Amino acid sequence: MPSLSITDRLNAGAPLLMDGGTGSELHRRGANVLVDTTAETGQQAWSATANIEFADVVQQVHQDYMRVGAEVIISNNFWTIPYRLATIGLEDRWEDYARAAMRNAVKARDAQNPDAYVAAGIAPPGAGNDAPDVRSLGDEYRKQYADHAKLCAEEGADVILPEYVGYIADCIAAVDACAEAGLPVWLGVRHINAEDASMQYRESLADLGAALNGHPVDAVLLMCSNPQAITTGLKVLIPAFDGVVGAYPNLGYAPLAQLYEPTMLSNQLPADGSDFIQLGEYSPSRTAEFVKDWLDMGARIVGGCCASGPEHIMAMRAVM
Amino acid sequence: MPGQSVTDRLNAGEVLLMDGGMGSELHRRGVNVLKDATEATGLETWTAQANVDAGDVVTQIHQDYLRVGADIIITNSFWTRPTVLRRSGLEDRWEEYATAAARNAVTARDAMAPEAYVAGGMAPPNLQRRFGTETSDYLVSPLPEGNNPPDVDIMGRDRFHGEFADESRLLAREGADVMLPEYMGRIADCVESVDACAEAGKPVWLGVRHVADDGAMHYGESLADLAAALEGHPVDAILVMCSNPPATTAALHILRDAFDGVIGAYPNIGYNPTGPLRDNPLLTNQEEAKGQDILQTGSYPPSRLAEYAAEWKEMGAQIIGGCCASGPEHIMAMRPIVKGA
Repeated sequence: MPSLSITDRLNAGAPLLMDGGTGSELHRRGANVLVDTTAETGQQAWSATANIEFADVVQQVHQDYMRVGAEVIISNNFWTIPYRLATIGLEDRWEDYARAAMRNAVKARDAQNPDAYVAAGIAPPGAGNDAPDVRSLGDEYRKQYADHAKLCAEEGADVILPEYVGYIADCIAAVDACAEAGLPVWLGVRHINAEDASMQYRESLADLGAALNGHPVDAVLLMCSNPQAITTGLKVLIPAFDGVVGAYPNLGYAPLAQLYEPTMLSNQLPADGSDFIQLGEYSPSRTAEFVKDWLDMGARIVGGCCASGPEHIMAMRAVM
Repeated sequence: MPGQSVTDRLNAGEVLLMDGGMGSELHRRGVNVLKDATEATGLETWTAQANVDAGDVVTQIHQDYLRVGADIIITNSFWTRPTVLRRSGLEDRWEEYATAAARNAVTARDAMAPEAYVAGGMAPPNLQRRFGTETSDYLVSPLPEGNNPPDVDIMGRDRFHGEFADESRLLAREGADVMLPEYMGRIADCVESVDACAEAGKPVWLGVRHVADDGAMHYGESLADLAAALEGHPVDAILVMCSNPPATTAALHILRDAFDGVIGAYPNIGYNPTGPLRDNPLLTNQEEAKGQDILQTGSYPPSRLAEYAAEWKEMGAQIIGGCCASGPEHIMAMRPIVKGA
């Protein structure tokens, strides 16, 4: 367990290096992250079941990130939530998977770098229909986040990270619910549009910054967006939000590429062919150049999301 | 331990999937494979020490390759021989490193895929690249004539042969199923290493490095001459390795006609190990590196490498995998091509 709280560590000055992608790295190492997935169903519960079925690989991925210098690892709780596990008939076991995710992260941390922090990363259910989850699911959305955050706090998380959130309404509800666990809360905002720095559904990051005023969130991180989009997004977010800002980009993960000809990568660049990792120009050295820009702009937490690997975090470390 | 011998399966016409790069993957995962390496010295002992210092990571990488479907894994004993370890002052500990390499592989195999095979990989010390700078009683005196003499000439036959024979016996004792003298550059080294490795009583495969785009060997020798020189020597398979994929194709064309045994391939797709140490390096697959990234697989995504694998299988290759810079994602993509499932 780290001697300094993550908030004190952040306030102490130097930027924090986060880890890179876990789901894409599990995919790469042959852990099945496509359980019951078809071209029609989409990703179902994705990497959630790996926490039990491939626990050793999850831990190894965490340890690899700390070995190359990550000070914050994100637990693999992304979709260990009832709504996603229900897609493969495991709704009733969400707590088992959520606890396993936290234990994998804490065990890896304790073994590799006791001074590293564990962020409990929890994505929204993605109920669809182009509407905020909190509107579709109501109080159930808040309850699932609050329950999950409390479980992660019990298991030793240092910070709660509702991430991959797309709508402003979902962002607000998620940070409020996660704060009930009594830990600091960071927010991860997904799929920024490169051309106008807007959020996925064309809401404004400036409006998000204003809407978060008075809510319990210490940091806003732009994530699962391509690096160019993050640069434009940070320019809008930084003047609009009083707290810490950060970034962890998606470099090109096409999780369903093996199942059908994908038209889009999850980082919103066009996919080309059947490879599930398509880094294109985002080599470690190029990604590190972006990170340097973000640090110069004032970002205090940086790392990688889908398709980034230990080699990217290693290269980022060198510019920090 | 596999129920069927690897030789029986090859003789039955089966095509086997080998693993991908070990050293580059260790590098990627933050294991220090550049201990004592400087711009002046080059790689020194590279991955040898990882077998002891990061044995868990070595084992995990073996397991990852088995998880994605590899039938054969190569022990991380590439440079665990006395002449190489001497560069880091660890010559006396070669048995410890070699034993750890074998145990890491066998442990992974037994845990993940008991039917998979362990190939004992051993590279020559590659003294010719350091020719003129190495001063040691390890080297014969006077130094042989020529620009790039074979290691066997620089070290002397007894020492070269002895190191390969001793390590083969050790790896066989620890459970290796086949011996793989690999990263061989000169015909004389190929022949001597095959003879030495056969003393362990296991089948021997030979890995030939750095073929050129016209299929010539690293120093211009001919693969047809290599095949002729190996006649009567105890080698079951020749694999073209640590070369870029198009060059590998060219070499397999020559080898298929010249060699009676099994042929195979495991290409290097762009590892630049000393990239972080200096600018403008050459990649070990003999393409020019762009920048300092250790992995530069640009033209060779898994799907593209799988196309090459299909071509090589069509040409008759029976052992197909990857060398430096290839990862589990490449072996995963080759699997349906190589194994038909």
